[in-house]
Amino acid sequence: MKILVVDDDPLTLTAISHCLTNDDTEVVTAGNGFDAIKVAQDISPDLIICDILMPDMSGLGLLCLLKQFYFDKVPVIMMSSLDKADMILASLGLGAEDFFSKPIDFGKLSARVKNCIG
Amino acid sequence: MSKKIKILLIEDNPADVKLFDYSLREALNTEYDLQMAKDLSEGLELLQKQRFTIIILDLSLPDSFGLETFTSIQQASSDTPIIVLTGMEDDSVGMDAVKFGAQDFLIKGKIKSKTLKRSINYSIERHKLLTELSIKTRKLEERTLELLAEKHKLSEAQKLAHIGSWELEIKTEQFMLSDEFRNIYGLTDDSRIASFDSFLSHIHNADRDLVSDTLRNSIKNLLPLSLIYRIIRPDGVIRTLHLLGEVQADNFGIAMKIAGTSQDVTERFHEEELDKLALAATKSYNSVVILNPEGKIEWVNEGFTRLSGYELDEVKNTSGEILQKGKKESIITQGSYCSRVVKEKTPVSYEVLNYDKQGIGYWTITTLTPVLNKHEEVEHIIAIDSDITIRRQMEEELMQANKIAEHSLRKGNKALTELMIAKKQLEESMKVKEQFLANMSHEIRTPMNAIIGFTNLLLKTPIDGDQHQYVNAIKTSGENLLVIINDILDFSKIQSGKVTLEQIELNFSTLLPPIVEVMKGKAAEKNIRFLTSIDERIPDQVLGDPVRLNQILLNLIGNAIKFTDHGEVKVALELVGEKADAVEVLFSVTDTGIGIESSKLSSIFEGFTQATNETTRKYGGTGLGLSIVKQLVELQGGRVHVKSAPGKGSSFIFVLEFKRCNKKLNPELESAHEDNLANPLYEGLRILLVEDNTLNQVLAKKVLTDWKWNVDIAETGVSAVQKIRDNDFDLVLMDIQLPEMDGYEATRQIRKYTAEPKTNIPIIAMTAHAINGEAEKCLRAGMNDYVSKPFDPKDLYHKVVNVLRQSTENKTILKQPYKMQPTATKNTDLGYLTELSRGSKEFILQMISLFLEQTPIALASLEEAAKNKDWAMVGRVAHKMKPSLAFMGIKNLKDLIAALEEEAKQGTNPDGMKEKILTIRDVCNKAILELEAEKSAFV
Repeated sequence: MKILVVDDDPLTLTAISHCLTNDDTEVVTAGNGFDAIKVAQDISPDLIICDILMPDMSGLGLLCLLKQFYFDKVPVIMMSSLDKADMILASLGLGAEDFFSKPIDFGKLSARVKNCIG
Repeated sequence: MSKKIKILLIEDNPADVKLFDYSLREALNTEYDLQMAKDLSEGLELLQKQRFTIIILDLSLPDSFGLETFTSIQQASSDTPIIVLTGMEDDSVGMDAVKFGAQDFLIKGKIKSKTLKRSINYSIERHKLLTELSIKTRKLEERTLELLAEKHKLSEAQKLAHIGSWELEIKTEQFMLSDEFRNIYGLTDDSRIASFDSFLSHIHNADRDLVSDTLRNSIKNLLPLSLIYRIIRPDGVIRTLHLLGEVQADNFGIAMKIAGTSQDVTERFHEEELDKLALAATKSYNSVVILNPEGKIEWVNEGFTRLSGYELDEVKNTSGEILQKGKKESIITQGSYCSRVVKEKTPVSYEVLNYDKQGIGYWTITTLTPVLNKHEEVEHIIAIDSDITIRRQMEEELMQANKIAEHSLRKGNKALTELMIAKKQLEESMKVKEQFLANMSHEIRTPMNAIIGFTNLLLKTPIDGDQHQYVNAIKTSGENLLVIINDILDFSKIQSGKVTLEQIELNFSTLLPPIVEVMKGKAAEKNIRFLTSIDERIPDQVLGDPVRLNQILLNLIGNAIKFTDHGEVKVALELVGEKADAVEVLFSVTDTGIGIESSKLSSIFEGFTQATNETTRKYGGTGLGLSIVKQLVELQGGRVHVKSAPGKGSSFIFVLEFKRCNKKLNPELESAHEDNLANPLYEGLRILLVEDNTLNQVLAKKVLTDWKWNVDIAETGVSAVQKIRDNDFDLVLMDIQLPEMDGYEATRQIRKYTAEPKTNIPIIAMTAHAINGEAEKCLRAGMNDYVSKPFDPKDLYHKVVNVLRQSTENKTILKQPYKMQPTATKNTDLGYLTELSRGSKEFILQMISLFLEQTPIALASLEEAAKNKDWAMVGRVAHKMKPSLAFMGIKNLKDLIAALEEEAKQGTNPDGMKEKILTIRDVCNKAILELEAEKSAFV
């Protein structure tokens, strides 16, 4: 199982990576949308977790790219500290599988991730 | 031919003839034809005329005798059988005759017809046989000669073609080789037969197995054979051979023999390789030369000819010496390069001067590249020459140009250095000037501070009317003097371009009343009416520089009052322009004073000039005020106009643009009240006053103790730090100008080297410098706020309250002013992180390291953004810091950051934001220290 996590904050990446890595799950990280696409093409992840508020390319923009051109079959979970209803709706409307608000509840994180990949 | 036997009898004795005839008849019947001759010559005669089947000859004839007879007849009739007749005593002669070729001999007298018949038949037969035999023999001999000739031809052909033939007897493993084969192999022994093993032994080590295996394979599978392999001849020369062979099998399909040819193809092989290289090289524009491993030229391309002028045949088999015009050194060098290439099997490049056929010199860069065969041996060397004559020429020219450039550069450098020295000197003198300015500011203001301060205090003490008058006079003088000093300093500052304007909230409703208060009194003294009018359409709050506006107005109004003896002074503010984001306000100060002569209208704005010489004497002043006003107005983008005529009063007008400001009023300012001065909540505050000037000490202490605060004094920065360490204070009032260690350094020391909670102790600077940038310097050194000297007690009070309120620990201070924080609290809490780590120390370390890496950068950009007033950026950075702070459990910044984010969005309260940023920075720095300690504990 390969999970790609995209966030411009290295601490968040490290924390999520640590939380989700186990014997049959590998976590790969990217710091921005452009790198994320490159990495995704390399490793073909089973799940993508993506922050919304990022410089250069916003998470929603990345979500659109993924769904339209590259990886429409791969489930994407969006996360953001901007916990507004319209942000959640926008993400889901653009094709995200689920939405986490930040700060992340790491306790529930792995359970919800399992839900998404099945 | 008739069946009849033709017999010739040569006998001289008639009786013998008759007897013979009778015997013949009996023997042969009539199947014969008999001719007789009585002597040799007759016989010979008859022989010449006729052919006989057989000759019967008597050896003793009258004209001949014995063997002579026989040989004569034999000679005459070489292919006729002869029977000789002898007497009884002559039988040995008969035997001799047979030896010589007679078929038989008969003894006369003993001839019976049976014998005769038999003998005749036998002789004829025998003769026939012998004749046939000799024919056959001759034919055979001829054939043999032919064969020999052919063999010889073949051998010659093999020699010419260098093809040898060979045969291998499979059972015996014996090898048969032709001469040429042996030639090819360089074999010197005469043995034609060699064994299979000895055949193999001549083959090159590397190829032996291949040959052996292929041969065996051919034999096993009855396949034809074609091999190319190398041999090493006994003389050591290596040759390349092409072997062909076919297997002959018996009826059972088992190989019996394998035979074929072997050809020396060394040259052709070499030629083919050469051809391949040559083909490639031909196409190259550059000069390409193919050399053998000894460095001798085998082939050159067109490029070479074009470059050197020489054709292939002029240089073939040489080492190209002709190009060196006989210069031994370069010839030897080139030779050594070739050897190196062969030895090390790597390419070599070098530059060399050549001479073409016309004797003209040209430079080339020559690259020698080895060509290796599949056995990693050097087969050829390829030399490629590129003409660099032009390049070298250019290099020469470039060097020349460089030399010239260097020379000019050196000259230029010298000039530059001189310029830089001059610049440095100028900068230093400017620094000196600035320092002087600052010092003057301090030196002058300090005693001024004392004069005015004490004067005020004096006024508060019980004094009688006269004393009151005197003291007032002193006060007024002091204040005037202060104004003048400020003017001078301001003027100098403006002159040296050291004035920058603020863009902060400017509230007209709070700006004007104080001015009015002051000026009203002055006007009243002279019995002049003082009127103000403010256009109500002007928004209450805009962005501008209140201090400078104050200055301008005070100057103009002060002048107006000064030069008016009776009548009125009117100050009016009018809204004359409205834009979406700004307003234009017209300020006018009109008086009914003495007026100004039109000719002097412009010059009054110049420094140190007053309207008349009398003005100075009568009215005093430095004459700087208007000049400063003009400069300040122009700095803000406006212009000052004056309308005046002697005796008719004057009107000074200027228009300034202010940007709109939407922020709500600072609630803290609103709650600023005189009543708070005695607010019991703040009683008992412990203040450390750091001030070296005794007068100022007394003054300040009085003010502070009036507020029921406890004051301790330190006279130097060093003792201040010490006192803070040894005692507990709630706030520090720190003068900047201190001996030994100044206020900045002392503050830095406190912030850096004391522990919680002291390191965060609020510090308010007291600075005599009104130089811009001073504020930032204070903040950067770690101070929380500043007041200028001489300080306004109210201002100081408000600032103290502010600072205390914003300090995180202050809540407890305000309630229990004497108590110190019981335990040193940490800023970080790794509980959350530990939980997340699920026991992984590496994870915790990694997160801490990331925090330690990121946070200083974030803090720096936060402060930079605040400095540039880029509030949007401040908000972004603040937002981005949230996760890091959360992970490290820095809870006490959570609300502050959120508040900062919100304020940054609005873009108002820059002071508040700056303070928050300071706090954030302090807490984060402490967190960094704590985490660094944690980190080293881990490792």
